[in-house]
Amino acid sequence: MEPAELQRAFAGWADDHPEELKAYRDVDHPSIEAAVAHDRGLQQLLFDAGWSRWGWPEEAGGLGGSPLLRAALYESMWASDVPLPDAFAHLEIMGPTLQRFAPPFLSAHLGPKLRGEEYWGQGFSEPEAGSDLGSLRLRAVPRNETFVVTGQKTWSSLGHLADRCMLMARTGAQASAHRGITMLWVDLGSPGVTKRPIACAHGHTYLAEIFFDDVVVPAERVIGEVDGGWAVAMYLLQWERGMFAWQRQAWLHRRIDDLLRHPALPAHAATRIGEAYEAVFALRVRSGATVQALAAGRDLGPDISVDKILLATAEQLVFDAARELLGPAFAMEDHPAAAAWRRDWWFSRPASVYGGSGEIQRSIVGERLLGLPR
Amino acid sequence: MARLDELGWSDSTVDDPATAWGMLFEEQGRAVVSSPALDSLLLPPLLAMLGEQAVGAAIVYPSENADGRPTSTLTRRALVVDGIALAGSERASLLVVPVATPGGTGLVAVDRSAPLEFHTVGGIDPDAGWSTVRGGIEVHADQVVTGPEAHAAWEAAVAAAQRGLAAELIGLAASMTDMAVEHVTNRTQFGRPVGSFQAVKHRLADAFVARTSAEAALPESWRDPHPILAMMARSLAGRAHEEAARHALQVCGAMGFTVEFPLHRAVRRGYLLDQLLGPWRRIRTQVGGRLLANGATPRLPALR
Repeated sequence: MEPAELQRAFAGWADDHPEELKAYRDVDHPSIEAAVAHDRGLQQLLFDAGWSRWGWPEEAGGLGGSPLLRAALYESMWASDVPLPDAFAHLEIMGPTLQRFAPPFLSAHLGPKLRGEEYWGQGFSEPEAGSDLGSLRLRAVPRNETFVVTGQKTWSSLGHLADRCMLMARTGAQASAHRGITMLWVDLGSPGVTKRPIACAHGHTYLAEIFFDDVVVPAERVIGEVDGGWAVAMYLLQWERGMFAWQRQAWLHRRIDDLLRHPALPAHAATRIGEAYEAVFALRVRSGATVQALAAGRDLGPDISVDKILLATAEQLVFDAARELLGPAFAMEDHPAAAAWRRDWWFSRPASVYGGSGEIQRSIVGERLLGLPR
Repeated sequence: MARLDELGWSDSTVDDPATAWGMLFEEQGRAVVSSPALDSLLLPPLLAMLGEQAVGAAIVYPSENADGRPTSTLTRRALVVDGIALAGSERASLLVVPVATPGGTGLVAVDRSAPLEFHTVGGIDPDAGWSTVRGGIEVHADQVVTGPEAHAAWEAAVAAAQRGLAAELIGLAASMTDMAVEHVTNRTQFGRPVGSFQAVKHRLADAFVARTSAEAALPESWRDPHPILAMMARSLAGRAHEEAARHALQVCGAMGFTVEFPLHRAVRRGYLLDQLLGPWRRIRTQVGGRLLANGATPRLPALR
């Protein structure tokens, strides 16, 4: 199976299944929790038809082939007006990391994740450890064949819905900073876990705090090496900035299409549309090259900071263009489409904050790509 | 170009045009050198229309690009020329003039000795050595090619030009960023290199990201003839030049404002090039207009 072939085949399948797909098109969900629950059906459909299994290893329950097949699927879905469920973001952020550092975990969890039977979350940031993630404090203390985990995570995307968590924990002394961190695969149903959703400005409880109170995690749940968690996190960030960025560009194209079809745009719309499209176009060519490099097994290093900057820029330009061009429809109307534009505009604001802030990325570009003095 | 041909230039442009032309124009930009190489890039699609007489011809570029149509006109046998010729065009024996006709763009082959007025362009960048070309002459039917094929040939030539100009603008942007990085690395104030301050670092990071975007867009524009790709390549490269100029001028301080410091030369060249089949902001807005007219973003090829 080749990417172009998958695109053609998916388009044909989508054309042949309008009734089944209708339930997932142009749906207005009252909450993100409702959206996630509803999309389970779509995830089942995509799994049963095989689409979401392409590009994952056969040993893990996939149909094999290159990650480029997954990239082809994501773009094909938006092209055929089949929305990409939120669950696929975490899949791409965490799945490849499991594949590289803990293949048995991928084999055990890929199927349930693809079918929507379980959700994944990340436990990285803490109240005192955002940009300075290396200073995180949540502890994992070895005891017999387990780690006992105590501490708090915050800003976990859909963390309150997650069954499994990729958790960054301190196993070294506090002064060891990023060198004393271990990545753990944690069952959030364990005793001692408390989840608290956080109300966000865009009207949804998208983020969560997760509290760990002497949570027992089997020692075999280490992803990679003990005290080697930082390298695991850096590997994960490549996929977040590569494949997740690719997913976002496909979706941003769809949102520009939505804006283009809005009646009565003002006279200067072409200028704003051109500016927004240019940024999304740049994101597509860059993240496409990154995905190809990742699919070929290359590690990308600091170059990936460019992708992160482009992603935030593109997302913000699209929704700023929408806000400006829609005018009163954006700021004053209450019908679902207007609410969706506001939701997406709000969520585009932290695009330059999550996953590594724009300031951090620009410092990395300056120091490590331009060689400027620290 | 003759010297390049001796080194096998023509073969490399056939085997791998993207790399060959890309390298040539990027180096031209980095070195802030002016040459008629762009004419050589545009000619191949036009030769099929005009025949071998046009080998080595100089192109008379539209003097402005307001609606994409040439600024020279042909009415029956009356040719009115209004355009731009590049440095070194005086060595060509033939001029190729794209003309606006009722049926689209046509092409007229004019002998260099024809009584047209050539005036050297000064403006922001006299070193570029451009000339304006103006005048009215009578032409014969055998000098003229019109119709859909001529129109398509000119469109293909313009797309090629956008790719070449994009590479040159990227080279200019790289040159300015390199100068700025060197300057802020060596210049110290408050006991530390100026480049160690975050504000300075972030400006140059923004310039670098703009250039990287332009670099990413160029290869696909060579591989795929979809017109949007060449337009996007040109737009991103024009923006990359502007961002680099803005940030380099700022961080190079008063030094950057002198004639002695080479920054001003790359700034000038890019802003002059913006006038050739540009400016980039208008191209970007044109893309926006096309998207609005189509009601959809274009479908681009899958990753391979």
